[in-house]
Amino acid sequence: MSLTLTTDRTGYPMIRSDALGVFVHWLPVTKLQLEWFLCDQPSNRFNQEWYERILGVHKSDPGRVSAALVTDRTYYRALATGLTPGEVEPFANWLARGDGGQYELPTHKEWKILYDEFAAALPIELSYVTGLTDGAGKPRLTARTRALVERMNQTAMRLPGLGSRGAAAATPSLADQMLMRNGVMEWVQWRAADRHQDFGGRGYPYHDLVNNRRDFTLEAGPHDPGPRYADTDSRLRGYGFRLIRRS
Amino acid sequence: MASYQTAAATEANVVTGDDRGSTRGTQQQLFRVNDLGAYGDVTVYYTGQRLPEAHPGQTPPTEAARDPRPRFVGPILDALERDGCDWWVVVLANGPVFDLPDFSIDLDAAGPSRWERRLLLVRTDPKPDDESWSPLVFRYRDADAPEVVVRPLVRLFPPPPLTRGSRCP
Repeated sequence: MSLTLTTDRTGYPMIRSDALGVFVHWLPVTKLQLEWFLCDQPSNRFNQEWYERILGVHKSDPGRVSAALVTDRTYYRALATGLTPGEVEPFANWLARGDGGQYELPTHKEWKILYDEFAAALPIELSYVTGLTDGAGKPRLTARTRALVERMNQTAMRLPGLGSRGAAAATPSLADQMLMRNGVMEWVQWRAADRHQDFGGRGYPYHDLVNNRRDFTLEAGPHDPGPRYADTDSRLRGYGFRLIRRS
Repeated sequence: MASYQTAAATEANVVTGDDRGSTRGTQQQLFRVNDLGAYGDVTVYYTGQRLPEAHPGQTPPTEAARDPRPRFVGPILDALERDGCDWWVVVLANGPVFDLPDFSIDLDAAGPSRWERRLLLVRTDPKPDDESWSPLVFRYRDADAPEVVVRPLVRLFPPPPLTRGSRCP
C-alpha cells in the first residue's frame, strides 16, 4: 500500500486507504480533538455540563489523561468515548467546515475493509506521521498532539494480545498501531437500516472480551444498538469513533 | 507596541465569595485583567473559547457570556504556541481546568514545560479541590486587592520587563 498522510483541522493525522480511496483517522478520535471542537462552538449544547458528563463516563477513573500519563492502563481515557452517534455528527460537520471534506462514520463494511487493509500491512515509522508539515514547512501537529500520538503509539505497540495478522503471529500490524483492535469499540454506520453499530476491538480493560470473542470483526448484521443510542443520553464508556474523509 | 504579549483566559461566570455568578464578579475580574495593560498588550479569552473576546486595545467585555464553555485552555495555548511569540498567560478559573496538566511537562525535552514560568493560574473558588496546575497557582480571596493578582505574573517577567523587543507584530 502507498503511504499518504494528512491532518484534519485539529492537526490530527489521517492516513489514506487505497482500498476505499478515503482518509481515515490514524487513531480513534481523542479528547484533544473534541476539545478543539468545543472551543469553536457557538451553541450551548456542548457546554461545561455536557463535557463533565463525557468525562464522567469512566466513573471511578479520572475521565481524561494527559500525554505524559498515557500508559497501558490509562490510554483509553485519552480517547473520546461516551458520545452518542448523534453527537458525533456535529463534530464531523465541524471538521468538514475546516477543509471542505466530507467527514462521517465509516459504514460497517468500510470499517471491515479498512481493518483488513491495515491489518495486512506492517507498522510504519511514526516520524512520518508526527513530522507532517504544511506548505510553509511548519509542523501540522501541535506539540501537544505530537506528544499524545507518540505516547499512544508506544502504548499500542506493546499492548498484550497483538498479532492481528494471524492468531499465532506476534508481529503487530498497522491496524494494531492505529488501535483498530486494542483501542475502543467504534461506532460505524449501518446504512441499510439507518442505524449505528459497534465495530472494532476493545482494549484494556476489555482484553478478556476480545480474546474470548473470536469474531470481533462482526461479519453478522447489527445487533440493534442504533435507535437506542443514536440520540439519547445513553453513554457507553468503551465506545469511541474514528471518521473517514471522503474527498 | 508593548514588549510583551499577555493573554488572559477568564471564565465568564467567574465568582468571588458570595458574589457567585453575578455580573459584578465578572466586572471585578476583568478590571484585574485591565491592570495587566501596563505591562504589555493584553488579549482576553473566555475559557473554552478559542477566539479572543477582546484584542489588545479593546475594552474587555463586562458581561458574562451567555453560554459558558467547558473549562479548558488548551486550544488557546496551542494557538499561542504556534504564534511563536513570547506569551505570558493568566488563567482565572473558579474550578479545575481540565487540560492544564497537558502543559506541565515538555515531552520533547523531557523536562519542565515552557509554560511553567509563563502561566499563572488564579483560582477564585473558595475551596479548590484539585491541583490542575502546580507550578504557579494563586488563590484569590474576596478581600484581596486587584494588584495581588498582577504581582505574581509580573514577577515572571525577566528583568527589565519592558525593554525586551517583541517577536510578534
